[in-house]
Amino acid sequence: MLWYKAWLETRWRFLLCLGGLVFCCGFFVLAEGTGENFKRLPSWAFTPRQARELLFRAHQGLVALFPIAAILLGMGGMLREKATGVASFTLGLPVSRTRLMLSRIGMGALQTLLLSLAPWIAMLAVVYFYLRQPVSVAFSSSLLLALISGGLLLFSMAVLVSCVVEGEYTAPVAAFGIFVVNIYGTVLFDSLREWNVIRFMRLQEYVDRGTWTIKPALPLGGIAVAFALTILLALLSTVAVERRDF
Amino acid sequence: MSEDVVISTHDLTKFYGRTPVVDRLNLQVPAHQITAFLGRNGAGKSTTIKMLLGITYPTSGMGTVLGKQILDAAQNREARCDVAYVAEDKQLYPYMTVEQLVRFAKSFYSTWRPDVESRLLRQFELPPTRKVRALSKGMRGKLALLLALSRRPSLLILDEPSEGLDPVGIEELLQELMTASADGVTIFFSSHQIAEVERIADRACIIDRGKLRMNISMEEMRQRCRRITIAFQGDPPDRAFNFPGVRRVRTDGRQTVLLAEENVDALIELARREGAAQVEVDPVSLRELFLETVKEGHDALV
Amino acid sequence: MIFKVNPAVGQPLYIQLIQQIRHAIETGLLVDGETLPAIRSLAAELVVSPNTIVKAYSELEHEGLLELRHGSGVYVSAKRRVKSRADLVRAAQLKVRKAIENLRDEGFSDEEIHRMVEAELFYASRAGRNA
Repeated sequence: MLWYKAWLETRWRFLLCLGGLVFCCGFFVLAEGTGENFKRLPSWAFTPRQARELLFRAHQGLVALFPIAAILLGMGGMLREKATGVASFTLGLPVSRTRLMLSRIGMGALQTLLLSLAPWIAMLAVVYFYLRQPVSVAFSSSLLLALISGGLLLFSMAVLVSCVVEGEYTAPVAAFGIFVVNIYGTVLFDSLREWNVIRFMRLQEYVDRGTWTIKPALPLGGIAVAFALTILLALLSTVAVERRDF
Repeated sequence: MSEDVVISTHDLTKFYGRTPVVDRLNLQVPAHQITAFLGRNGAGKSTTIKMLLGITYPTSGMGTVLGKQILDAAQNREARCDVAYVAEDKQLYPYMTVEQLVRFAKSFYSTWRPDVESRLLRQFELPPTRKVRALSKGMRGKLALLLALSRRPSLLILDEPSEGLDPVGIEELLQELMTASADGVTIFFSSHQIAEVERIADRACIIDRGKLRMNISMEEMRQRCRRITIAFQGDPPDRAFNFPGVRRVRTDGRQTVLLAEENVDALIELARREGAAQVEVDPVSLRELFLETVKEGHDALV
Repeated sequence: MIFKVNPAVGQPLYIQLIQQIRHAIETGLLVDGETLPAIRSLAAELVVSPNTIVKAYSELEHEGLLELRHGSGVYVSAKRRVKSRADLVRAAQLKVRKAIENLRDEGFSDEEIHRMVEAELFYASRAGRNA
């Protein structure tokens, strides 16, 4: 029932973000794809290449909004329970702290995944069914992969912050603060460009603007590093919770 | 002997900064009895209980609960399978309904009693579909108790159980505790409500400033502790009452008052030998014993 | 049968309960064969530790006043020893009543009388030990 508890805890946050992202992305693609009158253009007026361009632009918007959701999903946890006085109840249960963290991180990661998939599915559905254009699996999944790996990284960063920073409002401020520092810090120092999470998710440098396809060198190394860091941060969070006095 | 003891600590210590909140505590809580952990606010009761349950980690020392080491996370978790705990705050998840919370708690334990659960839901008048955040403090407290009482664990640990309850609620709680105790559940509860402890406890452990000051059976206390008021015709003798069993000696004018745990008859004999004009013997209430015991830490011992 | 125990009188609760049950039996409030409440329910009713009830019932069973039948409950048992003791108790009660009346006549308050009795009991028991 721990997963059920984690779900109940974050349910509204998740559903709100889900609704918001799906609506924004779906609506954007619909509006742009139909020239803002929502009527289908004749099939020769909208090409697969243009569809890919549209998806790419939508993806940029999604990348701007998505981090907020990912960080929000990472908030809460045992320190918040400590602040509200309920930690004693949870820790009095016959479950290990590891299991508690597993269910919380698992549920949150799943939700983050869904929040990246759902808007994309909405966008692709509009493109395929309404605009009646074929979708390029390679193109879409590359962008989606970048989104997921960046999103999960931000999520686990937020989880770590929530396991270390006490205070119901201090933790979100710290998490968003770290995110902001990452964006602006890496903009200021050119050598750190590679580490900018937003830049990483946008995949701007990896798309050919002529053909709107992914250039051969998808940054798989970067994606692997992102996943590895995600797992590392999750482990650190678990250790932080295991050692703490409640 | 180890089967007869459900909680045992050895020099259990917890420092917060430089202050020992729990100071070399050596506690032995016997099975199948009701043991009260009595102390003022901040004496270290909650911290001790949290250490027993693995919620807080000791600075030094060790302990066992139901024979399982508290310092070993896996063993401690096993012990918690058979321990029901109600924290001082009695806070519960605000986003769950009463029903959801009961289902949630139930899923962790094999010794759940659905008959007790439904009886208590009715008795405490807890609406199943109401969210916990919409419950009053008293009702939330009752729900927290329900979750613990709807099981038959070997050990029930309660941290200030009557806190936040009205007198009717307290009475209901105590009745439920007596029923549980009659079923063989060992009860260990912390309190600063002396009247409650005096009624239901078999044994009282008094803690003050992190130290265990007294561990006494209630029946023994009633049988043996006495306040002896001695009126002398002249000046009271100076050091005559430095006697084993005397907890405290107080002299005021021509009167000496002794708080004795043992040897009361010998003390009366001694008083007469020292020329007492009048000797009065009264029982000692737990309140008196408690106040004397915690004051020892402040005043110099006679 | 309504029992009452007082935690503040300096007498163990189980002894108070024993005395009340014994008194009830001897004065006929509880008759032979009658059931007493189960440990569980009496503990909940009086809100005292079940161990107190257990001690009291066990002691009275040992004395032959009660019968603890496994599974069916606690009964008052009929024994000749009880009847003759009842007579002794009644006589002793009268003596105590007379002594108290005399002291009251002399102007002592009930509290003073109580304290004197307590002190004497301890003194007497010690003297008895020496003799």
